[in-house]
Amino acid sequence: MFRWWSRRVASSHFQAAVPAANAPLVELRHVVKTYVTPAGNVAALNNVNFQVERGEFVAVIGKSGSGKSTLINTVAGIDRPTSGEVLVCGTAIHELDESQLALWRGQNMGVIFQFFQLLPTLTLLENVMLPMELANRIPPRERRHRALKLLEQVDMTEQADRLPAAVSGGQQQRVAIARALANDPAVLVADEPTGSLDTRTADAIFDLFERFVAQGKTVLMVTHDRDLASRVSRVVLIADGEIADRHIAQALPMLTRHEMVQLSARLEPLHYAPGAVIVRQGDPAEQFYIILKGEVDILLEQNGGETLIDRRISGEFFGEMGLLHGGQRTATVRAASAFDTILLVLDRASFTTLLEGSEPTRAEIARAVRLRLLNMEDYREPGNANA
Amino acid sequence: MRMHSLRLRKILRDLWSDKARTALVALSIAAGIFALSLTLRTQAMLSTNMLDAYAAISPADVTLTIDGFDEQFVRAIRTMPGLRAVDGSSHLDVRIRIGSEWRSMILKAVPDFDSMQVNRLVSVAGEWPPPKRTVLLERSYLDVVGARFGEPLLIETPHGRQFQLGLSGAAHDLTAVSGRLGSPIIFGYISLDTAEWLGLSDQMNNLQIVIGDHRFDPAHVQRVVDDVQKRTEDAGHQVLNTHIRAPDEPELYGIIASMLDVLRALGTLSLGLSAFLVINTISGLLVRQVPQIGVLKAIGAPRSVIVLMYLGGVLVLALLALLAALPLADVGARALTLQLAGLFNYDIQNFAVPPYVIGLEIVAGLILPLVAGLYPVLAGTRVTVRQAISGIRNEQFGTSAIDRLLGQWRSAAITQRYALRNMMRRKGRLALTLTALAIGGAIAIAVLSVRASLFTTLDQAEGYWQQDVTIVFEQFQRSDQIIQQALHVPGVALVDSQPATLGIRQRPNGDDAEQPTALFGVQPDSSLLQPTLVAGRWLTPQDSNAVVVNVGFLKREPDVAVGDTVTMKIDERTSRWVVVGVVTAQLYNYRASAPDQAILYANRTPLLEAIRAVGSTNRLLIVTTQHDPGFQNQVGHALDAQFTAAGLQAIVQTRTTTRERVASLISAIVVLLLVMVCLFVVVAGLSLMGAMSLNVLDRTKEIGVLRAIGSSSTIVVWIVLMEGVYTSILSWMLAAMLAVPFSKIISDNIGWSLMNWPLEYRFPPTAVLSWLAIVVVLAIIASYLPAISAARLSVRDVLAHE
Repeated sequence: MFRWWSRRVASSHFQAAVPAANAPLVELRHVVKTYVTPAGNVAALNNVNFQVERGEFVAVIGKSGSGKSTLINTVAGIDRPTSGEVLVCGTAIHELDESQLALWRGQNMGVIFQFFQLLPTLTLLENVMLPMELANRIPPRERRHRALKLLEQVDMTEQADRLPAAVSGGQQQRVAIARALANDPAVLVADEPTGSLDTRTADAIFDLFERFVAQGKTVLMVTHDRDLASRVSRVVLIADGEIADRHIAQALPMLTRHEMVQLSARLEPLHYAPGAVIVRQGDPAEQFYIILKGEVDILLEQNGGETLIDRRISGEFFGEMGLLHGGQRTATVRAASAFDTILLVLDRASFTTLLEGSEPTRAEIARAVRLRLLNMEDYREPGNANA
Repeated sequence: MRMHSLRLRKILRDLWSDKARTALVALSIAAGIFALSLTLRTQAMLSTNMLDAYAAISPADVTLTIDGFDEQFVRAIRTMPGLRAVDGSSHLDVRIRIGSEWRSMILKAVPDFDSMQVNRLVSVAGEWPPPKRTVLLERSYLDVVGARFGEPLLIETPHGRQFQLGLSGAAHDLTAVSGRLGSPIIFGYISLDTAEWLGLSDQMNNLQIVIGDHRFDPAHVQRVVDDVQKRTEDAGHQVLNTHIRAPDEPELYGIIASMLDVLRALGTLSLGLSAFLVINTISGLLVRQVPQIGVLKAIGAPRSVIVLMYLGGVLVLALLALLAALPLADVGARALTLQLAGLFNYDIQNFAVPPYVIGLEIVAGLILPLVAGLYPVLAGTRVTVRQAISGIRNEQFGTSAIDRLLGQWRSAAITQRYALRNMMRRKGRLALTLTALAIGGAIAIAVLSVRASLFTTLDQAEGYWQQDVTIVFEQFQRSDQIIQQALHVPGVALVDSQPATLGIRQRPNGDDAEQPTALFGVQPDSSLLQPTLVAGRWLTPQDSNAVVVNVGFLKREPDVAVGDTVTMKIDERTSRWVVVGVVTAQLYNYRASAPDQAILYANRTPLLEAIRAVGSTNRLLIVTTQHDPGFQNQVGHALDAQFTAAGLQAIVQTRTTTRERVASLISAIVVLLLVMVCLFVVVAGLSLMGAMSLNVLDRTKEIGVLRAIGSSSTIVVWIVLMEGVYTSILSWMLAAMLAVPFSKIISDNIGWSLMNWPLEYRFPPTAVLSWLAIVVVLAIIASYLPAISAARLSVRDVLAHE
């Protein structure tokens, strides 16, 4: 009876949605997500526009609280946007209710959690078969066979009849991946799937993801691990509820896609309060900055005072002159906007690697340095030493 | 002080922050207190009011039936030492016409209604005392008779003369059997003048005595009775019968007290079950509090302080429960008391609850939750800081044999397997829930079984007496004549004569038994009497002085055994009989005053010889050609008309009407038991609801995962409901097993209190199946709210849980 009933429920809603041929598999349009908390409203996503193409392996990185989990939860229909549109596999999932979302997810999306979240009273095999039963797309007689094949792909066939508590964390995560693939979804979303695993196990799990991407799956993954993030096809850096990609691309337009991934994986967002000094003229230069949000003032210290020589806005960079010329800061930089200024920071070694790897970018930055030096000369007062 | 207030504030806020669960625990305790309090209060109110009301009428300790005396004789007896009060009255057997049938009536003729000292009557309505040629009815028979004040009632005296007596009012007589219990005899009250007008003797025949001091000392009472008997005989009168009653014990009080004891036991059990519920719920709540307990310990709170804190919380809950339960229990107890009192023809003047009952309620209501809460609190606070902070949970699945067995079950849908295995995850919680559900279920099945046993015993009584119609004549008649008359009535297939009389056993020491025994003269091979033998043998046609006794006789005369000779005094003649067998008692007997009537069966001819009535009879057993109730009534009316036309006074009883009267009493008992079953159902339901809501709370994250991998709200609801249903089915299996001894014990107790013999035990499969249906529905109702709350959780909220 239950089988009949669950079949009825499952079949009464969604079939696998098919996006238009040239449409992105995942698309977020002007998505805003605001949490209402006792301490006030907290904006987790701020007018986010984001697309994922079929077959992409996207790593979402960012600091804790930056909004990265909210981003993929929104894609998975776990979080509902406050405003904006979320289209996944051709379905406007922001229009679905919780139950419709659950069914849709079961058929179109594989979800993987940091702590595996296998159901403890079901064997590993049963855990993998469960989504098939819930979605009811795969005929009952084929489910066991398919589940075993999936377990084989994650190298867990021998433990199929064990309970989750009887296997290691890494093995549980393998099974969780197999479970996510149970209904052959187009998209896998994973929230820090290697977050609770040791490096070697995490590496092995990442290998699995790469293998499935190679087989045509689309993976959207939140990770803290920048080394692993650098192995994906695209890194989405999120900071303060905004996606940093377009600002990086705006600042450094000559980067190739691969270089963009490598750079994004190395960038660290930093927040500065209004008026805070970001670099001080004469200090040793160690970092390169891209402005993600807000404005900064470039100030030349001379004759005991400060002269404003430039103001830079989001999508621009600074800090390159000290790194390329003499190792000391040539000017002071101060956060200028009324709100927090958010910068993406690259350390000296990564900056050097970036320039060595990208000739067009090196040329572009060298051109910018020349122009900025000229500008600085215009403001230098007579008798002031050159920094 | 400040520290204390902070701790109290924390506890109160914890309770307030989880209002649903707080309400559930309070409700669990309240249900138990309600059950106990309801039964304690009902018992206290009913017994206090019954005993007070009965004592207020100055009930007779001794009643002597004497051949005829006047007021002067009564005055003489009053002068005897050791007597507190003496009254005389006349008890007259007449017939009353109700609709188309004649019914037996006892008219009590009282010399002076206003100066009654013993077995006082109370005027309820109409005139008082009744004027000449009028009658007062016992108030519980007004509905039975169906006449209004001022209307005439047709009465027929033993001489066959009919009179119209005006119904002048109603009186309350606590010594009469309540009309609401289906008594076949109607009670009325007239003056001696009216008795004389009816052509009955103006002499009295019933002497009622209240003993003075030492009335609870049987030896003293017997001495006083002996003195009165001697004085009576010295005055030239003959004592026909002496009946000594237990002092101040109302009619049927033993049965009522037994029933109330059963109720109180069930109420106590119900409170015990609610204690399980408290253990479960407090354990569940403390699991949620583990991190906080860790923090409290980390910041320096010793375990004793934490234990006291949480016990303080339990105390608050118990107080809330008491406040909720006691007023409700009071209302329920008043209603139940009124209903029971009404059934036994008592008024409730005083709803006051004795202080000991209130004390017991408070002690039970506060102490029991504290005791029940002690274990989970001690266990919950045993956690170390490291365990508490790391969030280690003591929940394991897969380690026990049962888990492994369940793991092998792979034929069902995975969601069903998941629901079933979930049930086994918290084994301690499951054990307590199952205990509460199983005991509740066992009691419910037992009550249904007792109901079946009562009705089977009733059916057996019907089988015992095979006749369709019984005719009891006021006087012995020539049997060949009345049998012929009966056979002339259309619809009569068979007529048998079965004379009956009353006798008193003369004990070996020469004393008379306190109560009379009914003697039936039977044909040993008659198909109309099919008794069940307990010992010895049934009568044979060759027996001349053999008797078979029923267990009611042995209860009163415990020295008698098969093979013994008993001496019976019948109409002042003694005869000796050898006991050859023992048969069971019956829920009703024809011509017997109560189910526990002592009965002797002898062969018809020897009995008639003993009472010098050979060739006559006073009872005819009629078998009709059809056996449906309508036909029995039709033939009964025709027989009544036939004998009335012949000038014979007879009472006609059909099998159906007799059964209906007894069935109404049985139904009253069953209703009382079903009230308790309802309480058990409530406690069992709360128990399951508590366990299920805790289970859902424990698995909040898993529910989120289920939703994340494609489970709709409906499937989540279904999984939770299935777990509840599986639990209920398991409890049902246990309940069915437990119900066998439970039902036997209750059935036997009720049988012994009703008729000195166990009921014919039945354990009907329908009772077991009925409980299955009830418990499954209960499980669905109890699990529905937790299931709905589980389905309402958003995936994000549950994944963020903890």
